[in-house]
Amino acid sequence: MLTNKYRFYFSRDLPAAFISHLDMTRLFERLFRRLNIKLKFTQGFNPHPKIVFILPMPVGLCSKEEIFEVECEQELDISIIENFNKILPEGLKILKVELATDKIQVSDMYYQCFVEAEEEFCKYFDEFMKKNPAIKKEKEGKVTVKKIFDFILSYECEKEEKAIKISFHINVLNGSYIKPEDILREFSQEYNIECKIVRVERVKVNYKRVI
Amino acid sequence: MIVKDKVFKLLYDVEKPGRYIGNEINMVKKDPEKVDIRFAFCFPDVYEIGMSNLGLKILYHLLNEREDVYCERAFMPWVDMQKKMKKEGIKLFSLETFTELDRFDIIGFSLSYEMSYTNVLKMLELGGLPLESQKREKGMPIVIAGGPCTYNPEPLWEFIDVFVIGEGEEVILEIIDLYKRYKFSNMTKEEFLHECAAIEGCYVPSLYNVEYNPDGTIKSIVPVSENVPARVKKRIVKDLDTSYFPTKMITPLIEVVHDRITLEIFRGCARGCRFCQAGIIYRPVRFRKAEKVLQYAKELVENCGCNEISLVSLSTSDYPNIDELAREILKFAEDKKVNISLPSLRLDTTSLDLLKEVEKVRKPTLTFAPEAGTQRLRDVINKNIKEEDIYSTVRLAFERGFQNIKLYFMLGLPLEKDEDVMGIYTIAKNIREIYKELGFKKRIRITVSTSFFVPKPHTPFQWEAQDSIENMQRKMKLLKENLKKVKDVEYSWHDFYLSKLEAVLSRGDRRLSKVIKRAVDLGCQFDDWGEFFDFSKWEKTFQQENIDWRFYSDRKRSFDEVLPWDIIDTGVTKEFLKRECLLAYEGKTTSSCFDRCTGCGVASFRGGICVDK
Repeated sequence: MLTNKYRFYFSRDLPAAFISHLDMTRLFERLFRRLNIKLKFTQGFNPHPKIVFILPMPVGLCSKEEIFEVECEQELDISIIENFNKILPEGLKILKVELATDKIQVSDMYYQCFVEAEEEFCKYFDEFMKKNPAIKKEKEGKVTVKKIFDFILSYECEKEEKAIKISFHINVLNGSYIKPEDILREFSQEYNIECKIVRVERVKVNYKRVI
Repeated sequence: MIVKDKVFKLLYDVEKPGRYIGNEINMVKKDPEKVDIRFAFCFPDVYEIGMSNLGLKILYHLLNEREDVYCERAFMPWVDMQKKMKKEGIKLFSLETFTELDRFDIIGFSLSYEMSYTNVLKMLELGGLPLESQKREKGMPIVIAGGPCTYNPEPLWEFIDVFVIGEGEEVILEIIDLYKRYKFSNMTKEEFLHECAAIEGCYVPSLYNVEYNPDGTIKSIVPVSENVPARVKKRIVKDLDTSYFPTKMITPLIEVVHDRITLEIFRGCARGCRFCQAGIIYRPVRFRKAEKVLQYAKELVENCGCNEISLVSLSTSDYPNIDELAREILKFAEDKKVNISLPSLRLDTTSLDLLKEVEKVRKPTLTFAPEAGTQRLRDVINKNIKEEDIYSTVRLAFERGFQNIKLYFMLGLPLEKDEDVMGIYTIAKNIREIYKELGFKKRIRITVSTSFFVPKPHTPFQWEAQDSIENMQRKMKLLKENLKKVKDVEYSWHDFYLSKLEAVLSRGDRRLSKVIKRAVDLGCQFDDWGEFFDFSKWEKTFQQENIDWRFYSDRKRSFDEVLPWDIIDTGVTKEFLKRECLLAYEGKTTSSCFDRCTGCGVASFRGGICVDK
């Protein structure tokens, strides 16, 4: 059976970065409707469009390139990009569209975090990272503990003119990874150092094709 | 640094940052430098509540149609954001251009419920403005307010420069024109306010003197000069078909309370329930033509993209051929995977089928609002629902697979006896019984909710006393104990103290403005939110102002008492309200405006069904 499954590449910056994952799905559903494009919907009691973001984006995250896949009832023309970009809210931009014939997964990604903090921040942060601390997270009663270096391939902390820039190269294992924001939170709690995030950005995401 | 950048830095650790970014679909973008007047539309609650308000959307787009005006929006920031803003020295800002409130020309508040009064003051405070109208000189924003609460504007009289009484579409542009003359000339604020008072539908409270009797009741309300009208008559849109309705409607990016397109199909209600304020203040009934509704529905889906369209009015079933209209809309909506919702539909066989058809996707819930437990009391309040009708509808509904039934009632209505309270229990019991008789075995859910009667200005019950807290508590317990015996019934009741404060503020006079201000000083805000409402704080403020709040809520007034809101003319005469109140005492009902004219007086507007007949 021929399925019209499309892969949309898009970027996200402020202010759209503050839209939650669920709201992003709804937003795109609405935009497709405005463009008169018929999407495939799930069957059942509460049908919803088949829009899947490869990597859900936390609130506040900017990204140079993200992907969502969507199943359509029709074939799409390349001009769709232009039409989309005319009506997308500020911060969102469609970069390219392709037919999704294969499956992809995220393999690793690069992050940059900008924080406002005290002068000595990097020194303490390095000290913290050397201990290979664990990040404990509780979600709906379930506690997960992740060792930082099981997921971090490399990192760098440097002081820039206006803020401190911390870059991370993060590995994704079985769809699971560590969020830089969580590392920073853990650090600032343990060291009692106030660090104010001013920007978090996914600068590059690498994918691997799977069968 | 500009405000926008400062705000964005705060958003990484506040709840729901999407509230503060603006940037929505169909948000109006203009160059603020190129307009004459900057208008801040303020809604005294959080974004998600405010953005589901239809009035906001109508006025926002209407104002922005004008090239010389830029209307922007501001909402009440949640407490976490307030703290951060205070720390960083950011005043309350608009979502369109992140301009701080004190830089606007006009600030307009939408007053939808009394419990948001403290938020109004808080927003002015956060905007860096003096609260009292008197302290805001020329050059500072003019503060106006509209919405249903302005039908008794007195509790906020010190803070608001001008109240707009009635439907704002009509009045607001006239205020703008006048403001423009004021801004670009050496007209004083006092002169401006006087000229404002001459606009029909504008109430300028500072131009009236109120005197009191020794017993605390009002002796007189007198305008300061001959040119100021003795009473302010509400303004209405005479013809909905020619009035403005936006179809490129601003559509939020984050989930809001009513996350759908709202399309108004008619205004007003012909039913005349005696407790209902909306039923009086929105008179007369004015229908929007089906062709118009259909056209708007199409355009709205196209421009907003929402997956649901709601046909709103006070009583949907009263729209002529609502079935036909809903099915027409469904024809194109279905294809686009858009649902239709029909709130406030009276439930009978035909509407059940209609519901089934149009609300395919949602879990079916049937909602009934009999309001009172016995026919006697329903006749007292003129609520035209027969118990047999509920049962026959429920039976049909069960057969069609509905499993959720919601029932709304009011406790503490005038002339209520314990039998009436028990009547609520009987209805719930009988409904459960019907389900059993039909041979169904599965669990169902019957939700019984009660609120407490709040006497409202401009209604036939405006003179009535509200039940005391003790009485409310006793009736609630009586009902609760009995409902416990019925299977599958859940009972919820509205907060006693919240209803109490609502009653106090609804029928308050000018002396309450000091109380509200003090309450804000004591930290009251978001009073409508259970987690923040603290009646003990309010009690303290009343004590400090030496006012007994029972004077406003628990006291029955005589028909000849001067009421604080007598200054406001809804078109419905006091004689009519009195007559209705006396009929209530006798348990006699009044027919709907569709059957015959009840002579309420609103026909003087020469609009809607009052003319058509």
